[in-house]
Amino acid sequence: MPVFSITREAVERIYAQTRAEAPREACGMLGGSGLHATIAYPTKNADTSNITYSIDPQEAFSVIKQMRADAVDFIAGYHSHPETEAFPSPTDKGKAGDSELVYVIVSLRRPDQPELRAYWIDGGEVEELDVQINP
Amino acid sequence: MEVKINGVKEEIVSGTTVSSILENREVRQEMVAVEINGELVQKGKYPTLTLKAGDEMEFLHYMAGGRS
Repeated sequence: MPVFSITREAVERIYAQTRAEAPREACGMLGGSGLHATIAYPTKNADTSNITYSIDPQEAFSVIKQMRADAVDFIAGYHSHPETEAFPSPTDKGKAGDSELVYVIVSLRRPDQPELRAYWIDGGEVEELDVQINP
Repeated sequence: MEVKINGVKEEIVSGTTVSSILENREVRQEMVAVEINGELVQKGKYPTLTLKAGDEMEFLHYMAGGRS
């Protein structure tokens, strides 16, 4: 299984955001290189919803520019499933348009033990990546 | 003429439309947002809007989904 690595700092930032925004879904973008994510960029959930999320394109473009300033690439998006498993839902599969992007999902079914998993989604087909959390 | 697409300088011919740039990259137009010089472009304008020298075009796939 391909390995997607992410820094502990980025993971902690994602966990803090997703817990703070629960029971609503939280979302954001990850910068890094290849399959190595180093910086989490939290964004607003434009849907303000417990069951869906979307990132406003203008905010996403702003994040992309910040990533360039930080010398990282946009390599992954993330969102939370506050009450369900960290697996792409039919909605996630249907709306995933970029087959090269990694889609990270955080489940908060057990808030004290969040679960973070990563996937490629291509034409509705899901391939899971092994997640490695680095110091 | 020179433009920037997703931060990278490129040479394109005069009259190149947003749609043709996306098509050349095999990007489904309904799945992406486009910004030119910091302004969002309405999807209906993709087929007719042409880039000018020095324009900075950005595009990215919509980020959306959820458990529903």
